[in-house]
Amino acid sequence: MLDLTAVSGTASAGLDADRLAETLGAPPVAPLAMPRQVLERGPGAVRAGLALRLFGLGDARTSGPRTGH
Amino acid sequence: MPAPPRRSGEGAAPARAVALVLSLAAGAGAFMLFLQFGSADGLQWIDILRSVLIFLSTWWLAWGAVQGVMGLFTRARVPRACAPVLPDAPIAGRTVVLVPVYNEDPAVTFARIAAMDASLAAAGAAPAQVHFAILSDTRDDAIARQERLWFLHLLREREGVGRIFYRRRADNRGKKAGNVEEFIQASGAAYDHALILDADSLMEGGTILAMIRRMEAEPDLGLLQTLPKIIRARTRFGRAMQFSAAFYSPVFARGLAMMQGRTGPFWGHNALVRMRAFAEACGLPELAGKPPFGGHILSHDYVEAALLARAGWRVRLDDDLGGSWEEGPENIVEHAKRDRRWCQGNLQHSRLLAAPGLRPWSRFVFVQGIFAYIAPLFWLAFMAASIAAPSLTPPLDYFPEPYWPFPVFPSDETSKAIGLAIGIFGLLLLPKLLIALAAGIGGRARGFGGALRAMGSTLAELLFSSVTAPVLLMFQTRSVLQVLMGRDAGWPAHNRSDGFVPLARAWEAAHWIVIWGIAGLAGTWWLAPVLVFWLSPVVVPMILAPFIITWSSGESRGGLFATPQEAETPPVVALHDAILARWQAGPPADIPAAAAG
Repeated sequence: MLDLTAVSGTASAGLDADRLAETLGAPPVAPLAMPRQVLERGPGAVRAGLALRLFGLGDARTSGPRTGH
Repeated sequence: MPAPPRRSGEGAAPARAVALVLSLAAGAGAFMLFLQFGSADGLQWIDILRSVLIFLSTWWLAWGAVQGVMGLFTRARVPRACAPVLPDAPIAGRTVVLVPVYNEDPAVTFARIAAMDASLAAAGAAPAQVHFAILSDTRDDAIARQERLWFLHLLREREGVGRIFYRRRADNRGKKAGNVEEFIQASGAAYDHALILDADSLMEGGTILAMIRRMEAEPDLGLLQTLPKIIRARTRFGRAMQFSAAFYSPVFARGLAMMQGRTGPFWGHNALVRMRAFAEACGLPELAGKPPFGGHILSHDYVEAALLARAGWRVRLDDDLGGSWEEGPENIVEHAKRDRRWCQGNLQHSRLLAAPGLRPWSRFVFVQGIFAYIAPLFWLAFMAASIAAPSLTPPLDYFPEPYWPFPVFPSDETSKAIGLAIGIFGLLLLPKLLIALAAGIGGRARGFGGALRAMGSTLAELLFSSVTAPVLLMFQTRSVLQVLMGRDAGWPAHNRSDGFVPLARAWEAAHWIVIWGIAGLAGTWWLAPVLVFWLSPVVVPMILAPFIITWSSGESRGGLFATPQEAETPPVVALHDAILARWQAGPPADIPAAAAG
């Protein structure tokens, strides 16, 4: 790893660099929805999940769509 | 964007059926042979248990072997499903190359971006066509500050203002998948495609453009995965892995490609995704409960591939595309650390096996991933059962008939056990030896130092993997047990430059393996002394684990394990070397002013 001060020059220049990087680095604002996918399962699947639990492989249920995000 | 129509597996069914039938037949054959051998002195429950374990282990071995052999009977080529694409076809859409970083060395990582940007320019990409976005999840403020400084340097050097971006997340929710998702939610609509990389990925500009052209030519292609090869390995372990990835993996990948149909793999990096398809299909839910089985989906790539396929998109591995590189762990300790995360991620997929609407092959891929980690436990259980078997079996009764004066000796089924052992060794060795033979005959071995040296490297790799396998098996077993006991792996940063492991550190990492090795040897000696010889290839490397770790982390010299990339440095790798050397020789002191100008 290179010495930070060698790269930034001075501490104050480093602070300027922080702001500059934030400004110049900001990606374009172009929102795209990414809906939560459903990985829940039906009654048959719950039985399969119970079987898995018997082998210690965790809870059978998965969450539904996440809210509040 | 309307989802493409759902279609069948497109000709993959015969290949899948052949692979499944052959591997199941091998497993069944092993089961029958062992059952006859084990029950020679009367059938006991322990014999049935051992036969079932042998069936599962052999099936898994055969499944891999069949993939390798199938790969030998086909050539890397542009997929049939792929429409003809001219190498200079115009590119209409805009692509962003996503580079997630997490406490990496920014100079090294950003020099890779500079190299890929230069490679893209050399390949004829217009600057507006391909952007880069560095997605920092770095938690260390000092490293984050360096990232900002090196980012400005990168901007200046590549004149990248407005097309090379950097942002750091306030919290790293969802880890890498959450990092990428956050970018898509904020900026995804600006792009048609996203090339997802790892911090250590390098790709030739020509390869990136070829991928974009293929995706633009196929409206239903949702994800295009390349086969990344390992570069820059320096240690014995690293170079053995690098050789395997370069020599065997393309053949195994071709076997896999024959079976993929529309539901190919996603390995998390060095892959191009159609932005809107990915956004619409791959928003990952958080699983109920706590890690390791609940919480964020750790091995998100397999799930994203399954979700894209579920939504009707084609997911494909194009093994004919070269120019895709990554770096690998340089020693067993680093490998085990990475494997611990993968193990947890794959076992977590047990929660998703019955998720609604998934294609059967996607579910099978989950099962395969789980099996990859639990299969070693079957071997271990088989060995433990074999050691215990003599003490669980009633003594032989030579006079089972009450009024019959002559002894009845059990039939000698030793030949069946020997046949079984030969068969299992065959499954282990044959695919690799066949690959070496085919490479020698077909001329591919030239890139590996010629036919003789390639065969020498293959034999050395077989020996090397035989010695390291028991050590890796123990690490893998511990990982599975830790996950089953509910221990979370967390998200340790990669230690990409770590090479040599001193003996003290190797002892610290593997002393428990030594103890198990000694206990296994003592137990075998006491309960089943006849098995000591047969189990020695497993227990001796376990007892020597720290020495093996240290030795294999030493610098590799000599002509064995040569790869084409060592003989001739790929252009983008050479570019990266040159840029990094220049950056490290004299970091400029006027970064802020220069970038502003």
